[in-house]
Amino acid sequence: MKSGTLRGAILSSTSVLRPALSTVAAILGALLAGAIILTAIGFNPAEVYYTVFHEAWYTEFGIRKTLIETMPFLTIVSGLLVCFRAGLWNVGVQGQMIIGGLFANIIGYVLGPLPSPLLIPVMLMAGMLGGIVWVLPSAIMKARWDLNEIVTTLMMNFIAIDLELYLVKGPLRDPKISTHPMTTPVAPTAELPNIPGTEVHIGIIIALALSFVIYLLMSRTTLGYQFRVLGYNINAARYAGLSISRLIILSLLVSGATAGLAGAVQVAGVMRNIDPEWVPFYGFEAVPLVFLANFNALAVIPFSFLFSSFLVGGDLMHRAVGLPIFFIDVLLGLMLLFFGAAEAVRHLELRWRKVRG
Amino acid sequence: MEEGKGLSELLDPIIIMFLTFLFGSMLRSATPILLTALGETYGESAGVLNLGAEGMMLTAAFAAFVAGVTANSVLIGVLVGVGTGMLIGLIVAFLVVTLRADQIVVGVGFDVAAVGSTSLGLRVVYGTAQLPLLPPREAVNVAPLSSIPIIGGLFNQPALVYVAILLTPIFYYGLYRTRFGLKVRTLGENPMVADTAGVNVFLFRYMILVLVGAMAGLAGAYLSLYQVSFFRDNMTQGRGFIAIAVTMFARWNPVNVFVASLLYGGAESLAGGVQALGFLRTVPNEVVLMLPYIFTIAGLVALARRARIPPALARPYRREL
Amino acid sequence: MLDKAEHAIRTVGITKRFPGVVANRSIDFDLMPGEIHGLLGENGAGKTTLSSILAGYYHPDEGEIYVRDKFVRIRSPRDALKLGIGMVYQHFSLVPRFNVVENVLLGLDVAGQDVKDLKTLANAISQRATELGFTIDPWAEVSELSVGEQQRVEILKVLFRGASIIILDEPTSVLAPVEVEGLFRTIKSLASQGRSIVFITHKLVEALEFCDRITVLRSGVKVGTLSKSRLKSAREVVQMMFGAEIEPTTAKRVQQVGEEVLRAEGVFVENDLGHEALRNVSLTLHKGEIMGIAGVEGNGQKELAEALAAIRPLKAGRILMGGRSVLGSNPAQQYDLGVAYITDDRVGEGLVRDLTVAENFVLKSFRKPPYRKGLIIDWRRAEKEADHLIDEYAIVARGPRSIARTLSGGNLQKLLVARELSRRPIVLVASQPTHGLDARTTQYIHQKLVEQASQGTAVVLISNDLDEVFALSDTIAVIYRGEIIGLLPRGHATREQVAHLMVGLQEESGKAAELVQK
Repeated sequence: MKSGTLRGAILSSTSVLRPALSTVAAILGALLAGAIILTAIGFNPAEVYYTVFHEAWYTEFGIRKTLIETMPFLTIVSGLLVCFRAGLWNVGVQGQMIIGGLFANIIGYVLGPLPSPLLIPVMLMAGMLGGIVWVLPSAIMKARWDLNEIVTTLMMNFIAIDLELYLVKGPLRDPKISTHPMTTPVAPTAELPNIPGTEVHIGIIIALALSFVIYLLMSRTTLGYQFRVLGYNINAARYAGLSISRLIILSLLVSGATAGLAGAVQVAGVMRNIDPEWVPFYGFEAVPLVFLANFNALAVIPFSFLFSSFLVGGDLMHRAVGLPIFFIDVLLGLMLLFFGAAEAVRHLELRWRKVRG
Repeated sequence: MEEGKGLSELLDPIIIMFLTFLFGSMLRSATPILLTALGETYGESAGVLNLGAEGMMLTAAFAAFVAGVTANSVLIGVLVGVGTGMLIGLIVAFLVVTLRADQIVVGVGFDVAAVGSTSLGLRVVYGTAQLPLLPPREAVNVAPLSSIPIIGGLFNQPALVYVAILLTPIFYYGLYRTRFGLKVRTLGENPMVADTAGVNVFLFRYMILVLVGAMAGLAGAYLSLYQVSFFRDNMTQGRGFIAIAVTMFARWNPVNVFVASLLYGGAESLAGGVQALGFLRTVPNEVVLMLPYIFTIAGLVALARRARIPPALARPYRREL
Repeated sequence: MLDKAEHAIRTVGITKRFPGVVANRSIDFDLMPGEIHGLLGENGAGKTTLSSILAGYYHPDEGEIYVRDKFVRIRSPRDALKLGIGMVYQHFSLVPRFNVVENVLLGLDVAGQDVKDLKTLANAISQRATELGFTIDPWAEVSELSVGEQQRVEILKVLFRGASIIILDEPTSVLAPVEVEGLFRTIKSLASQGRSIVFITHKLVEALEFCDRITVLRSGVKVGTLSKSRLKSAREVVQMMFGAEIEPTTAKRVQQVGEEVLRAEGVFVENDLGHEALRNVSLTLHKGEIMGIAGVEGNGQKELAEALAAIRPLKAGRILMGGRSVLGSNPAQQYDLGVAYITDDRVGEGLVRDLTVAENFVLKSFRKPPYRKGLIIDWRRAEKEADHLIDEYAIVARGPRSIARTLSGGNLQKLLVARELSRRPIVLVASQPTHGLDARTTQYIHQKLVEQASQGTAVVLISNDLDEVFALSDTIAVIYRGEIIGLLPRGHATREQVAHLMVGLQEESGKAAELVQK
């Protein structure tokens, strides 16, 4: 390819833009397919899509909830993109989030007397620790024995859900509440303050800060660089002398920590204590977001916001229009499939073009 | 003295009855895993990692249920379930074999879409109303054997349980003792060898994926039509992935898969049994619920460490330059 | 017995193109029944491509194929099998985990030679082996067989598929001399049964000894076909393989060879399959010296390069730098010690195609200053350097931020070379550094290598290209079957001599072939 010619110029630049095209194609394709499905089941797609966004953005309640819900998504997705980039598929973020939340809950209660500026950071760190602890077994199993991390993290996920049931109904149960088992709530000082002038807690700020940190990590640090090399070409990683097992474990720990952090923020900012059946919605659903945002830590911000809008708007729309919220999952799954297909076609086309010379 | 002797006479049959009940429950719990995993042994032996098994099972479970109540026939429900699985298998084959899309992206995509579409479908079709009833499903009675006192109950199981048990040796034989199976395994070891031996790699992988889908579909149908008689959100609860794990630590051998599925079934029914009978009150219910998943991880660690993964697993095939 | 067709196979004008290279250019080839026909040429000459076309693995872009004088279209290996064409691949087409019977069974049904059951087949295998003069246990797992035995299984496979035309791709490259004898006996026996054999090799001795006719390919073109009876000397064939004109050597810089910087002593190394790839290799590299290691690919070059770069562990022997053993070091440490390695596999391991040029540039140097500042990589600096190198090496790329995937093969190689040379290494291992590059780029890289040497780097130039080796080296060594079999100062070597050594002909090299250690 000679970059001197116009053709070369277009080809070179579009091959950088191409992945973005896959994302756009995926979203449009999914929306279109979704519209067809909606029509088939008797809903008006235009009405549905409009209502979703209207509810999510133009009502005070809606926008507030959207912003609050963006936080856990953004946090989890930011962490996931680190390990996905390294080629490791952590799908147990739900469980890691639960354990993180539990850890944070315990600390928030036990260390209650501490003043806020001290208590809150400690709680958040406890949350991260919880997530790390929960993903560590899978990380070690992968690094030492090459055991499929999709299976192990998923199994740990289900174990976490059951563990939560046991702990909340048992040892962590609040003796003061007799009607329904809940954990002992965190101290009042453990609540996350709101952004001044709003009713949105600062969790979103934390999430944005985290996004930014991860962006820096991946694009600027030696560690992020090594993750990327590992994920793109493991042979080159060996040729360059990188320590592969260390990288595997670290990348998974990062994703576990962020999931745990998300759990901690939910406890500190929204829930105060934990219901035995608290099973956060963000598990598998976070996976497609990483792909669609093309593993870019800054791009995930609008995507998380968008997705949160879908969820919140969808929930509110459900009450208005009657469409079950599961439609969003359908859209998301379709997006991932279309994305996979679009990327595959892109690669095929690249090869085809190369052969033609 | 007399009383004591009488008691000990009574206890034995009770224990046997309990064990029989437990074993029967084990078989029933193992069936969906077994069915899916049998298909997966062929898939992975041919080099295709089907992470969408969970989605296939779930979708098939839903379709089978709807078909079953609409046609008021369980048989039709099962057929629709199998057909649904096969259809998804075909689509996956197109994406993964022809387009060479990433197998993980496609698999997870189907799983997410399945959760959404089945739950959505459930509400669209039935709203919040009570779910309609399926026609009664009779267990299949293996006549002479089921009249044996006490343990006879073992031979009175839903039809698909027998199907699963019977399919095991068939799948084993097919994979290890036929030309077809040899070709399948060659695909996973080294597709180039298969290619130069005249095997149409693409066609074969398509066929295998349809087979994988059929088995997962059958398993899904079993879940909603036999194990319980309704469809519930996300009712597969990770069984598709457990089947994948079972396939891995059974080293892709259908006979090992049978044993592993049985053990899994044991873990699951133990959880149910303990809850029902209130045994071992010191061990919390929920911990017992974790058993199947812990068991899966333990199995992987114990057995899959030194397992040789088919070298061509999850890699698309193209003739090298 | 074969029918009395004129030709077993005839090809007319076969042309095959791959991205960036014409592998076969209008090749006319013919094979007679019962003949052993050698296909000779250097690496990259197009031998494997041609035979892969005959075996149905590739499709020709142009040209026709006639089997037993009938026009045929070979669209896939299936078609080839049905036509009775069987190929024994260089790296074997066997499944190690299966046993012999299973490996032979595969493909029988397509070839129309199916059997009823495994036991029948097993007996038939034992019988056929005996007829051919060797024994084999049909139930043995292939991975447990020796290489020679595995090859026999390959041959049996092909025979059982009813192949009347058998292509053997570099069959002796993995055999010990003793096993080679056995192989040739088998081949002769097959030919006497009326089968036609195509024998691909780069080893002239064998071709001369066993083939009835020899066709020489060079750079995708057929240079000529000679029949053994009309052959006067090996020299004629060598000239056909490597080029008739012996080019005048370019005047080189006056080299100043200094003290020893690296010494390998008695190095034994295994390849990925566990076979011995380097046998008792001893080398001494001096400051400012360019040592050219000539040889046809597959004789241990890759393993030698990897051993020097500490990517491949030594089975025996040691490597010393500055008097200290570097045993047990890893590639990163080796790089820090000053050993740069231009790999021959630029896209497989040398570069990460999905990263940018600048990101590829720091692949080995990101851990230390100046590109590392604490936890961060100084991308601005890296990009500036990369930009500078893009200009210097005339790499065609839009800038240091363009993704490596957008670069053509030649430019990728330039990037690789630029990166390795940027650190002013003590030892530079360059493995096929100008493979696939155009003349101008090649010249530029040669310049660079010479420059490095003038500045004191010890350069190990591993290359299939004899011209290159002669143009640049101070000392020339030849690697053949894992051993260094000739070490000559440039002044004493002629291209002919070296060419002969490369193909294993030591007799004609005269007294200069004595190992001369400096």
